[in-house]
Amino acid sequence: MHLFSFSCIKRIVPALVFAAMSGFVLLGFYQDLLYTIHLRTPFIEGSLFFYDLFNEPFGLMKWVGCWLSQLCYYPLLGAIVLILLWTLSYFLGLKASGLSTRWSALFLLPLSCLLLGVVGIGYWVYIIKEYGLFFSQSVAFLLMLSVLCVVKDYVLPRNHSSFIVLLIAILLYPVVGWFSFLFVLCVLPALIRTNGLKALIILLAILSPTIYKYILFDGTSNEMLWRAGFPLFDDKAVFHIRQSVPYILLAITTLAIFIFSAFGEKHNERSESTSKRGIYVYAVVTLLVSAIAFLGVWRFMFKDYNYLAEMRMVKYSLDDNWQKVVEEAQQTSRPSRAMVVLKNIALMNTGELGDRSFQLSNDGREIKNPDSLNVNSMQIAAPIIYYNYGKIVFATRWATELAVTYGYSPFVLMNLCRTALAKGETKAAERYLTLLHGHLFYGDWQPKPVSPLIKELDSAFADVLDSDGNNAENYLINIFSNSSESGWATVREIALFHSMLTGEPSLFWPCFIAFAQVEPDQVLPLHYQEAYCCFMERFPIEMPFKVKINDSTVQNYVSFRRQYQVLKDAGYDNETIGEALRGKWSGTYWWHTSFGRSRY
Amino acid sequence: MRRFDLHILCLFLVLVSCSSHPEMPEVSSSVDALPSIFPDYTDVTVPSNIAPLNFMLADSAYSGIVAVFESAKGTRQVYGKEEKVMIPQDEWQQLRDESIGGSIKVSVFCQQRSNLQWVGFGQFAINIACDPIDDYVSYRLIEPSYVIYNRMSIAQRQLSSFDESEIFNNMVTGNNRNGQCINCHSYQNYGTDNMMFHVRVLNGGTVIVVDGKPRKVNLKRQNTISAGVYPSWHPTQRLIAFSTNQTHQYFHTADKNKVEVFDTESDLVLYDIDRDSVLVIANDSDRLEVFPTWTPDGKGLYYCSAPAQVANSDDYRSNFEELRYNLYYRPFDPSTLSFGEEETVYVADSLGRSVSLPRVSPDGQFLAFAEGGYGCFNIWHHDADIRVMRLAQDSIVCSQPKFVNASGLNSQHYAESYPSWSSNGRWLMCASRRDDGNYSRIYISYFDGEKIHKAFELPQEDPQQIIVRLKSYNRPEFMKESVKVSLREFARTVGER
Repeated sequence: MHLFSFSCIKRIVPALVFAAMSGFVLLGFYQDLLYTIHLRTPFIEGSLFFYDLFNEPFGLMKWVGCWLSQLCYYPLLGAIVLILLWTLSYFLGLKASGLSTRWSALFLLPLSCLLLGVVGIGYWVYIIKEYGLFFSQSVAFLLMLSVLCVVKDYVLPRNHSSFIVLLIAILLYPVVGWFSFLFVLCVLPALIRTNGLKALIILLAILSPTIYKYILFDGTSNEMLWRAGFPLFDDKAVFHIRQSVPYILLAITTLAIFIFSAFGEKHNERSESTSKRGIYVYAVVTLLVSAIAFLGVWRFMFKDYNYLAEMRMVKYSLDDNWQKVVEEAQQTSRPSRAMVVLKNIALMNTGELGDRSFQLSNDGREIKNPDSLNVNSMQIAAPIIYYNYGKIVFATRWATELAVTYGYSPFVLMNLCRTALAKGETKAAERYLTLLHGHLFYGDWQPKPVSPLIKELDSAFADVLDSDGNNAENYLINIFSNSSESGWATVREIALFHSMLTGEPSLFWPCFIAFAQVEPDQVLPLHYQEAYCCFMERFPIEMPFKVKINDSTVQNYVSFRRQYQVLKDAGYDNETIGEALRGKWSGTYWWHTSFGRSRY
Repeated sequence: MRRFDLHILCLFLVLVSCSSHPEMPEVSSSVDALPSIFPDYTDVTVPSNIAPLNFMLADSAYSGIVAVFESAKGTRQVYGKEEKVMIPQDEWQQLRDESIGGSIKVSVFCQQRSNLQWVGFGQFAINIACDPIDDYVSYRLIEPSYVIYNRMSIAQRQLSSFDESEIFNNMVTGNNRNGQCINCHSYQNYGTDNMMFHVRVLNGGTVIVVDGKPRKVNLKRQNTISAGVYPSWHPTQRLIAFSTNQTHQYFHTADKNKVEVFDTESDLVLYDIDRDSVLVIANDSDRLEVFPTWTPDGKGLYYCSAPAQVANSDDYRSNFEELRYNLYYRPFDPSTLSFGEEETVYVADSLGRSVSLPRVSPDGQFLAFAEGGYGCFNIWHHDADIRVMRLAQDSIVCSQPKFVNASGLNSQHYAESYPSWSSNGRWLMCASRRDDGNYSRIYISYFDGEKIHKAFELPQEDPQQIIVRLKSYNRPEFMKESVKVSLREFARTVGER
């Protein structure tokens, strides 16, 4: 077949279609996901990390997957590698299966499953324990197809081919894990055609886990030996089969193709390339399968604005790029909790907390996830949150917990380095830096200096023994809203802000007085004025000094209250009133405390 | 995966890559100071059967290192490749064996990163003691974590080589979903025919090996507050003393000590292996008795104890630094399995200190323990050090206890804990966080009966691994021999699924 023959071109077209589709999806929508994949995938240079992964079947693929995940530091590069892996798999799959040209597009189905495994991952990306998942399965699939090609050309025609295939399958098992079982099933149809029922002997490859249990993987559990790298997703002892579906479909579609190719209709290549019917069938199949693949991916890929916006905010926060965090916050009026907290940290650093926080919404939404995962701001950003609030020891704790559970990823190492530096643990910081420098693209990374704000916040509180109940936001609100008597100016403002979040007058008034009395002649930031109006109406006190409030703020508040009363008198419930007033008032403290505060 | 097989492969590759001996560099200048190397093996005393002391540069101003080793008999070898000095096993053995009772002289030369010039440093010695060290050490490998744990293992390492293998791990019968903790590996008299470790949560119990046969038992009884926790094998009888504990933890919000682990209740019990019975040794509800350890003749039991009021008070979180443990002793009659009255050995509290993890030397003359400012979980306390007390031969109670200077074993600013004696009483090991304040590493000192010499870190084939290994070496224990029960056999005992 010539490279530019019509038949060859027809075989290339589906690959191009899939590459274009993958590129469109990955680079058009999921660059932030690709970046997060690299950020959250552990990789430690050296033999120890390799040994740790290689203590179970598929371990080598996991290591390769972790290594390749580093490339997603540049999302374009990561996407190119993935697309290359899939494109190679397509051609090797065609060769291995012997699928005729008119049906070649069928091979897009298993590849779509691999693509969906990436873009459908959702919030699992933060809590995944399958190291290197986003590349390991594709690499293993490619390797399996390569071996299938070799088997097809050099083993099947031989005598005793069944025994040779069995041996290959057993040797493959430690490397590609569950793909060795798929290998056996894929080669079985062709082997039955040539060897008859004798070929069934290759099913003895199912004994691989038992064999290797004693010769290579003596420290591995039976479960991991049988699972052999097949992705299973569990969260707090509950399995979520939904995430494994792409890989189940990968196996099913691949096997179906091999069965179809072995026993389905065969056509003469020449007549295919020239006959109208052949071209027609090819075109229909290619279009139909491409459409199914694309629509399937489009339907099930995880779509949520906040999901990707959070990733960008985390990236900017790690870089102390607070301006970008604020810009990101401006793009949505319905942020997630993690986005709210990161936004407020950014405003703390830009000095705009009191003027803009509620304008950029503190009404955080629950994470949208079909699996009802226990993922919240803790897994997404706890070390960053605590670090920037000066709770360095808690930041270290959470970075360590994430490391223990999900591995020492760049995200964890950067946070551990920063927190160690903030506590003066230079030797520990050097260790983490050394490990980070072993990454492909972190060779020059250096932690940003500890900011004066963080130093101040770290010094402002005496050490106590405490626990955060696994909820950073509530913990910080509680700690700061009870800190009205702090001698630190920064703390007083943060205390005031957090007391406003509680809506409790017993917390608000001491914080407000402590903050406002320092410069009573200065006009307060907007939201603090708003809070003053609100609390003075509902929970009035005798102020020890006169507070400067803009007339416009008072008038706005009066207007808000009037409109609220009108709607309430009309019989609308609170939620309906909130939505009605959202457009004009959602950027005010009043709207938040009336309709948004129930989140706390 | 059998680490041994991979180690063979790795060793081969290492030897191939590093067995070449570099040329002596042209030294442009000399510095009258010791080189900055990691681990710090300058002027240490090591056993006559220790593995090669491979080390690497610890100063980023330099990019290359060459070291010249000269044995006491004049054998000279040069090593160094890039930033590391890695010595082939057989050549090290020759250097070491030729220097027993004397020392290996080491001269180090470092290449400056800025101008590629070589600088010579002051010569140092690696003293080779006549006394060997036990063949093996075992430890748990676990992250210095807070609440969550993941994969952990109990491993054994041969001290004359770099061979490390798993005795057991928590994933072979556990999994990520249900969790399993393994801990408190312990051996009778440095042998492994009789040994034990705990398994917690999934498939929980205590695995006890008796005469090489493992079985799993449940040490929780109706009259005990928990199953057995901290163990101590009787040196001759089939008895294990345990503490039973109700343990909790809090986290510091600002202090670098980070974590406070404390007991609200703890007692002492004696487990009779043959009868599968648990006898109470001490269970005073007003006291927290913990960390039992036998005398070498098995006729006495040392332990720590503190008043329970502080731990159980509502304001513990404010007063936690007032919880301090003293050292006590009870005589034991092995024929009747009975204990005598409690005797006070050392009132650390009176000095504002707190004792934990006492261990008597094999000759019965010394008692090592970890001592910090308060509490019992000293590995998290930066001020914790190992102390070695001379035991009075005529009386248990030490009115004026005498201590051996243990500065050779301790660091200045970081925690040391969990002292262990070698079977010949000449080597004292501890878990130390001096490398970076977070990860425990094994340090060993030579003790000649009078002086505790400068400690050396457990050598690794590639010294970089000390940095890369992100697990702590927990509860290091000496053994004369490797564990003979296979990991699979332990798995079946624990409850393989």
